[in-house]
Amino acid sequence: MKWITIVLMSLLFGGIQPILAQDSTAVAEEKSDGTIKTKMSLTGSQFPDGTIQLNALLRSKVEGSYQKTPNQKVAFFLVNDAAEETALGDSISGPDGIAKFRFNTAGRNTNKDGSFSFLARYDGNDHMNGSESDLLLHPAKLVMEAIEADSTYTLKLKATALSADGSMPIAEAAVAVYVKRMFSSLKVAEGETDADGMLEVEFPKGLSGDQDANLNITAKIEETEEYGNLEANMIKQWGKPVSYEITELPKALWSDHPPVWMIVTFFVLMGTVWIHYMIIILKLFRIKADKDLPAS
Amino acid sequence: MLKISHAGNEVLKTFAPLLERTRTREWIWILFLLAIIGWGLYGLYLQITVGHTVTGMRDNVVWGIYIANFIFFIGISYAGAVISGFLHLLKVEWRKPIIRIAELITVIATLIGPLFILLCVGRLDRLHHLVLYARLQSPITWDVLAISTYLVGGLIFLYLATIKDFAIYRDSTTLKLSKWKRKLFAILALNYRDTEGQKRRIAVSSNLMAIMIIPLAIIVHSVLSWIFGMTLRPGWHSTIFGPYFVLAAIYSGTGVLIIAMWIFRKRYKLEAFILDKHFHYLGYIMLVLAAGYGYFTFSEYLTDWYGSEKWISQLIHKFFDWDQYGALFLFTNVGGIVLPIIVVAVPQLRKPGILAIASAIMVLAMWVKRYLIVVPTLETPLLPIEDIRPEYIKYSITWVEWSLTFGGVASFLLFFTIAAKFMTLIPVSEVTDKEDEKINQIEHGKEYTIPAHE
Repeated sequence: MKWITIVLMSLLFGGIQPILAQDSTAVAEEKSDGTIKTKMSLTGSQFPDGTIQLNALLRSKVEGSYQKTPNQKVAFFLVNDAAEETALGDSISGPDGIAKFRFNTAGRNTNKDGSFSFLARYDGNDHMNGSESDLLLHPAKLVMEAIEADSTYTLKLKATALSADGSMPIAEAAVAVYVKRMFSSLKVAEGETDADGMLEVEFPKGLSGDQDANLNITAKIEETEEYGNLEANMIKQWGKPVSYEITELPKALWSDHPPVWMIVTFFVLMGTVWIHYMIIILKLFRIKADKDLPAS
Repeated sequence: MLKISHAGNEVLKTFAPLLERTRTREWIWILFLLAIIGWGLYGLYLQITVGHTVTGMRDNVVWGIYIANFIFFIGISYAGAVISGFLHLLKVEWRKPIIRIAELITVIATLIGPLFILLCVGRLDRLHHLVLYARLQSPITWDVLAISTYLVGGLIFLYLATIKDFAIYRDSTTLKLSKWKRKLFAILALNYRDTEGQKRRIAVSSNLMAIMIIPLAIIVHSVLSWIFGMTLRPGWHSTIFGPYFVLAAIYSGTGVLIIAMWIFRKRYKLEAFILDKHFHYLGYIMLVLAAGYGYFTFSEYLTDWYGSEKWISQLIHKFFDWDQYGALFLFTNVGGIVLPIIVVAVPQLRKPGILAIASAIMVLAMWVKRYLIVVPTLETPLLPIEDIRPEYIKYSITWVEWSLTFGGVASFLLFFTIAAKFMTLIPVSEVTDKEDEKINQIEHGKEYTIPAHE
């Protein structure tokens, strides 16, 4: 089932991708300057290991609306207080139009205000204009701890902002807990941090996991002005084991062998007809071999 | 030498010029048909070298006019199955003069129809995979096997009904045949000399084939309908699709038979053999089938409409929207159901010429109906598709597809023309001396009256 889903998703996105690209070209031909306007938006997610995931969404204006633009190179930069750009690397936008880059804060100096300033830039090409977007993030982290007690599952979350003066709790931040499902994430718990930046939520039981009962749990503080997204992930054996082995489907005509009744019906029907054909052809030979005298 | 009735001799005399030589007028006709086929082949060349982009078929509408043609040709092949099989079993006497035309329609239409399936295949170089890697679970495999079996059956049935005629052509002293043709007839006649044993064997074999050809024809068209019916698409996934297709096929086949009879009667002056009563009887059959087909159509769309299922409702809306398929849908129902019923039901209209025109309109309506079964459903995808070019959703027939369609029709007519060079369109051996009276009456300007026992 898992593989079928993966194949279907690949086919779906693989199929749409070239069509979008073709559409963009078609519109470019209609424009007087021959180029398409693009728009970039940069967001970031901070992880407890000190890395920041930068997501640059590139969109282009096609037939009056902005659409996700895949297969384009986006460059990422770190910008200091003197507005000097340090190239971090580049990435190609995926089918969802997002170019991703993972930035490790270890050994990197922050700006004077303790923040990191990022820039994502798309240079454009013959058909499309360039665009860029910047992002200012103060280092922070969300730490998640799993507790099993009295047959209940609890998640202990702590959000802290990091600065040269030490860590400061992030109070009154909305935290949501998700479990990864087949197509998207399912929200299973939510709450708000207290003055110490702490939050405890109960984790529901009986969720379907993989064949080993593993669940991929993510806690998120989303879209804060100062810190961007804060994320913490863990895999826990808190689910219900579900086997993804393909079970035999009684009506699966795409299986290797047809059902027995079908084989029997087919051979009986075709056999009956073709045996009669043979009998008739045999009779034709006997007509030819007939030595009798014609009827008077 | 085989005995031949006076009426048989008359038939032979009528068709002798066709069997003996090909006249300039016929050559022009054949060259005209070959030109249309050649134009179609040019379209096919483009389709193979450039790709299916020269057709209107795209990602969503993967089938178009070719499949409509395929269903149409397999449908009209029913003319032979019904007339030859059904009427043969019931020993209906009036079938004899029209049996050959019916059988030829069966065989030729079954030869032409599947060619349109090949035109839908994107990778013709992998065509042999259909046999090498056939999956019994696939309705496509059922279709390939059923149609090839039906074609073999149709050929055997036609041959059985023609052996006696071949023997007559072989032995005829009046026919001025070329040497190779006489030799060919001698081979095809299988040393037939009308012995008791030979007569019995042909009779037994013909009865066997008549029994088998009817269920075989029903299976073939049911299987064809299941290609659609087995998919969960709006407008296709219907339990009545099997009988609906079978009935529509017999119906359109009867229409084509009436048209062919009218053309041949006019062209070869066969009024002594193909009588008005043949048109009347086939007209009655057509009326019953039109009523049955109308009932199936009403039942199918009423249940679909009443159910109001989202996707089916979208499809039904297209049939009643004047800007989409409204006009074509109306034409299929008026031309394909109402008109034939009126023409047969009103005695003043029940004339061969009018019946032939009504049949032609009905056959065209049935072709449009096949188009409406295939295309609007494919234009109503179950998955919503965004940001896609309109031509990927909306199908329109290209000149390449029209060329190949007319090429198919021209091939049908060409095969018929060629077949008429090798056999009389009315079976010489089947017409008896009973026909003499009719011939005499018609020759003396009297209208032939049908005896009560006929």
